[in-house]
Amino acid sequence: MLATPGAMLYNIIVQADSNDINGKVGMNMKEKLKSYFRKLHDKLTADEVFHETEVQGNRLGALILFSSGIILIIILLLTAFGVFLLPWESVASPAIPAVIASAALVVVCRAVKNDAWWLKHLLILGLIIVYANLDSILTHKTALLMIIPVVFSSRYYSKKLTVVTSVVSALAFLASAAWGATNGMINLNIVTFPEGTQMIATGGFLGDAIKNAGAGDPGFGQMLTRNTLLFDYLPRFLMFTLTAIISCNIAGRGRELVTTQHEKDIKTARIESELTLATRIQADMLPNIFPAFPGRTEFDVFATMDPAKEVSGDFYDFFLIDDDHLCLVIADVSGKGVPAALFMMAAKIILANNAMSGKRPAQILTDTNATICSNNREEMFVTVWLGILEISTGKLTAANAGHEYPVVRQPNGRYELLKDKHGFVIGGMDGIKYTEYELYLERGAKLFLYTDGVTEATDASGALYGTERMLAALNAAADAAPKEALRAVRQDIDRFVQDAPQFDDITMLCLALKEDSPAGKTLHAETRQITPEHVRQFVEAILTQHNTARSCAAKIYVAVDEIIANILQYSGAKTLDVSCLANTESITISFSDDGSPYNPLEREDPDVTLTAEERSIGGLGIFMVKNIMDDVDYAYRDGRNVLTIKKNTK
Amino acid sequence: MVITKKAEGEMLTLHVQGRLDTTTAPQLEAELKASVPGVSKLVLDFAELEYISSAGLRVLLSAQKVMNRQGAMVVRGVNEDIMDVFELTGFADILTIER
Repeated sequence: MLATPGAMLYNIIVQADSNDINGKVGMNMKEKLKSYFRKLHDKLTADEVFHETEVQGNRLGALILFSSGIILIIILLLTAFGVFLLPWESVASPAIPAVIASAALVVVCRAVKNDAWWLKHLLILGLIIVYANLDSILTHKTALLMIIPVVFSSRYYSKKLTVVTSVVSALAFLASAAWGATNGMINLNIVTFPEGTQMIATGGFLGDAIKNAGAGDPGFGQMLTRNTLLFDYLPRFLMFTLTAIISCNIAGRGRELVTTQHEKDIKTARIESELTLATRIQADMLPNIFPAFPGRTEFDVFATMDPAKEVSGDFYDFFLIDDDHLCLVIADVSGKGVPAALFMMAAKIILANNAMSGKRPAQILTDTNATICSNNREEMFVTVWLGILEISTGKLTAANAGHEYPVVRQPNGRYELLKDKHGFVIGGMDGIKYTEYELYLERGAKLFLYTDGVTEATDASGALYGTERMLAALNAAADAAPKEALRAVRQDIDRFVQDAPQFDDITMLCLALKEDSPAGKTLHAETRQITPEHVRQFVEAILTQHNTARSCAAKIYVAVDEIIANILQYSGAKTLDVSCLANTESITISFSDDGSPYNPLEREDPDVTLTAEERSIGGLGIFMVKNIMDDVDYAYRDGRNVLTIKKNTK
Repeated sequence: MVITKKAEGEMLTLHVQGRLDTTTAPQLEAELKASVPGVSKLVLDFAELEYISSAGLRVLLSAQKVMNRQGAMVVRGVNEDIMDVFELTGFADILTIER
């Protein structure tokens, strides 16, 4: 709200009224006053939009007056030095008051910093008076001076103001014409002389001429007045009228434009604020507080998303399905901006819901595709890589729906592309079946996921950043933690693209399985030095630390005993690693040996219904392990048998 | 593992305390080999046995086979976990278990 005098008075009245609870008559008076000031206040502050326009108009007014003053001073000087062949009085009498008035108005404008509700009226009135005065004296020299206040008033974009200014100017013009036609300067061009008339110079003013002529011929003065009105003022008045009409139109149209623009500005501002909100909602949808799992010391995950526009079609996601399973997602929606962002939200939620219901990666993608395809009229699609990591064992089960190859770095190795099998994009076609694959991330391994915004970042010449540069950047920071690894890649991209604009969203995720996590311990041993008792003691230390229930611990000891006995007796292994990971819900132990490949789970179960005489003890151990553990898993990788057992502790 | 032996005529009671696994099974096996000749009733008191693995089961099986020939064998005081193992492996049907 503008702090106009009306507004201030209004406030004072309101305050006085609320303090005064006396007399009905007083109330009536105050009611009236209040309503008057409210009206005045509303009238003066309704056009808040035009406030800036008005201040700018006032500034222009001050500039016009200042320029007029300077021009008049120049004219005065030129007249004084005899360059202009005009009598000094004829110029000085209108010009000097005009200069003084202009200067005074300029000073007023400066004093109120061009910002006062009454200033425009004062300026217009000042211009009319100054110009009418000049016009009345310099009858035929001032051309369309009188139209300037009218044209100037149109700068305030108020048709009403321009109409009023036009009428007042016209009246002032007529007054100056009435005065000027008898008292202004002679324009000899409009005088019809009888043939053979001799000119006698008497001074430049009509009044003098009329007086002089009147001495000889009374009809001559009337003729001069009539002709001055007819030939000097009438054509100008007609032009004035036309220009005034145009000015009124410009003012009206200007008002419309400013109002429309203002409405558009409001709309744009609303859309912008909504877009900002959308960006925030989208960002909040993604897990963005790091460290994401402060309680989990076995792994570290970090991710970033830099949208090219306000909102992004890319997303990453990671969440624990249960205590031992971490779901990782990276995806890229076709298109950009708001449509992509909306689609992304839907895809993200559907994927997460499917994942949380315990499905396997291929099934999650298959079901998500079915849901999205069931209602996808815009034919949008999303590429997705989704993996589920078994934290205790490092087993990663993943499926790829047309997304970029993931990058894996095993401990002490290099970051390398994992050229997995791609299924079709999600949302592309109904009824697609996805396939999944498994790989093992060893302790200390890293997984890097990204979108094409990384590899397709382009420099000014249009060259692509590419996977080679990305891998090089990762390998240059091979030992860096996920956060630093992502920063290294980002900095490398920035160095590459330099000032070229970012076209696509840049999204990256990095997971690291920690080498030595306090929750999980690994026993490295040579088989000739180790006994089942050593391993039992190693496991016991961890179970005791976790207050594992006696009965549960007993089962685990049995399993450990069976497995170690088997490995030592039959595998021919030279080295043995036992990793034990305990958390609140389960104990996971994996046994890795370099013996001959042998999957004990494939061994046929013994017949437990035979009598004592018929029984042999072979195969009973692994049979027991399978039955007393909640999960037993075998894999042969990198020349080692890896058997993993898991026991739920709840 | 601690084995406490109590002989009353032809009846031998072995009180086994601790764990019966790959590490300790040979100990019980040796004890049985030395003590069983001439015994017509063997009682294995497992009241203080924590758990048993297949190595222990193997010793029990061979003891059962021996006792089938020269008398009877009773397993006594097994806890629930050990009983689970016996049931799982079919040993519950082979052994005579007194709880």
